[in-house]
Amino acid sequence: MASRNLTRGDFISLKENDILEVHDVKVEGRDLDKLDFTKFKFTESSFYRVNFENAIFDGTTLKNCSFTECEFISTVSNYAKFEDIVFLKCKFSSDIWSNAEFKNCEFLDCTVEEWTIANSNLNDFTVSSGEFKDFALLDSKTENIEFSFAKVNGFNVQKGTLDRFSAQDATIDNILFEDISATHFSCSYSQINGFEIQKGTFERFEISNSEVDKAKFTGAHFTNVNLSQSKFANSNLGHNVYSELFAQEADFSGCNFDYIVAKECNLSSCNLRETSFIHANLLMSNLAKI
Amino acid sequence: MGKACFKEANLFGCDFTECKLLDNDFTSANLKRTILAGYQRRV
Repeated sequence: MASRNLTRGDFISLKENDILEVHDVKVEGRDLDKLDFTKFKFTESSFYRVNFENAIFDGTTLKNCSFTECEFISTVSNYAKFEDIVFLKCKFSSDIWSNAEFKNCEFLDCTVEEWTIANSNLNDFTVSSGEFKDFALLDSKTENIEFSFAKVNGFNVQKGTLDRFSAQDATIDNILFEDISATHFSCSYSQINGFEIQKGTFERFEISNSEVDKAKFTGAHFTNVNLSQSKFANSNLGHNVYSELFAQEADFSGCNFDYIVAKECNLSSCNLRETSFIHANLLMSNLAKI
Repeated sequence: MGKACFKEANLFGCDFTECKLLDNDFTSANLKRTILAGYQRRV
């Protein structure tokens, strides 16, 4: 049986009649702006060129749905669940979503401008190509977030946990990680411009084969760090604790590692031209061939 | 390594084998058991 094609009027009617479960529908080219999808449950449905401006998604559940070229402008969401969702060429702007649950959500070639997700759980959150600007995760629990071939400008993660972040071939400007507990941060073959870490713990922290400009890490505790073959410029990496720091063939010229504790680290074959290690504790480290 | 500054750094037991240590600042650094093989130590 073919999917039903629903209109704005259909949704208003469904809401009025308290029929909130919607299965196997398709919505194409509709203005669903300002509609209230509170407690709606969508499954196996597709949305194409739908305008959700100022829509409300409180307690909404979406499972096995796809959104193509849809617009989520100034939407509000609280306690919504998104599982196995694909967003293709969608636009998010000025959105605030709280207490959400994302499970296996893919964002393909999407555009984001000012999207705040707070007190939420994100599990398998994948971004491929597209542009993310001013994207914030506040006090959330994140597991496996991946950016590939994407352009990110403004990515804030404050408080909460971040488990398995990876970026490959990405261009990322202005990252802020503040007071978070992160495990397995991996960034390779990418360009980062402006990367600030304030406090927090980072286990398995890797930035390899990448170019980083204006990094400022302070008050953080890093364990199992791999910065090999990356070039850091104009960066302040001092006042941190690094356990198991490997940075072979990295370029830290002009950077600052003052007051770090990095016992038994490996900085062999690094470029340390005019790098500052004032009061650093590098006990039993390998600095050969620098 | 070219004018790297290790002022007051604790370099106890660090291995600087084959490093060019000239022009670097090791003022008040702890160089006990530091391995500086292959190049002239001028600190």
